[in-house]
Amino acid sequence: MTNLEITEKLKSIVKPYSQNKEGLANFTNDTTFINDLEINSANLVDVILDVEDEFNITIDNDSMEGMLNVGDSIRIINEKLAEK
Amino acid sequence: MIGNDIIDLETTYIESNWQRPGFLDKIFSIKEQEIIQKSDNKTQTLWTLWTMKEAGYKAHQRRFNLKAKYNPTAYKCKLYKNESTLLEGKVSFESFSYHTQTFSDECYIHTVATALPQREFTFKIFDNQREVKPELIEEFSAQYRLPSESLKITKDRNSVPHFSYKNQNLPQAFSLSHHGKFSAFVLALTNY
Repeated sequence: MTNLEITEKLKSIVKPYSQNKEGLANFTNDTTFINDLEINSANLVDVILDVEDEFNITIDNDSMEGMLNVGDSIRIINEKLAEK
Repeated sequence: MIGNDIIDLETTYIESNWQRPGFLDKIFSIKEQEIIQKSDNKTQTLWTLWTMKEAGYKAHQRRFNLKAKYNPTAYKCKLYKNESTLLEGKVSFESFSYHTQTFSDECYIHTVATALPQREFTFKIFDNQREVKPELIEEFSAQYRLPSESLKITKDRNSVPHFSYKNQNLPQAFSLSHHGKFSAFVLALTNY
């Protein structure tokens, strides 16, 4: 899977939780879930679970710690895909 | 040091499904999951523990100037007293612990975490989606006798908010939270 494909999938995962549609329009590696997309921290766990379902991977707690922006999430998804 | 977190229970019914597989494991320890499963009102207990973790995390992050992390299982909750409106507890992270006080009714849950128990703070809860920052500035202005027009709230590189007065950062600790139609601030009244 290319980074572009991962990015597109991630974007559709976070979309329903994003309260800032402008942040969604400027979706880059630096986009943070909480500040830029205004995803409530109570919904971050849903993002992680949706990522697990979509990519068929398991995000352990250590990896989850760093899943706060797009770039880090793509890196972690790539790592977990490579482990499969 | 201080942190807070508020949950709009109605919003959780719409936006969160805690019964989905994996949800509890990502946030709560086995012990905490037992507390939730054994309680009379599982939803209320679950979100109470969640606000404790969030409030403890915010106090800890502010205290040590830390980068943001998403590590809810690393914050361990203990509940002490169970009275109708005030619930006291403790949140531990590594070798640090934070005293928590949870105020709730059937619509919201609001937790304040402090590094030391019974430190003085003031908080306000709004249920009308009001912008909370101007309210906090007014409160701060009254408490510390500084003109509100010269006070600003700015975020540091970790996105932790601080007060500044005439562009100089002030040390007073506070915390902001919003969820659904609720928002809340807590302001420490002693510097610690």
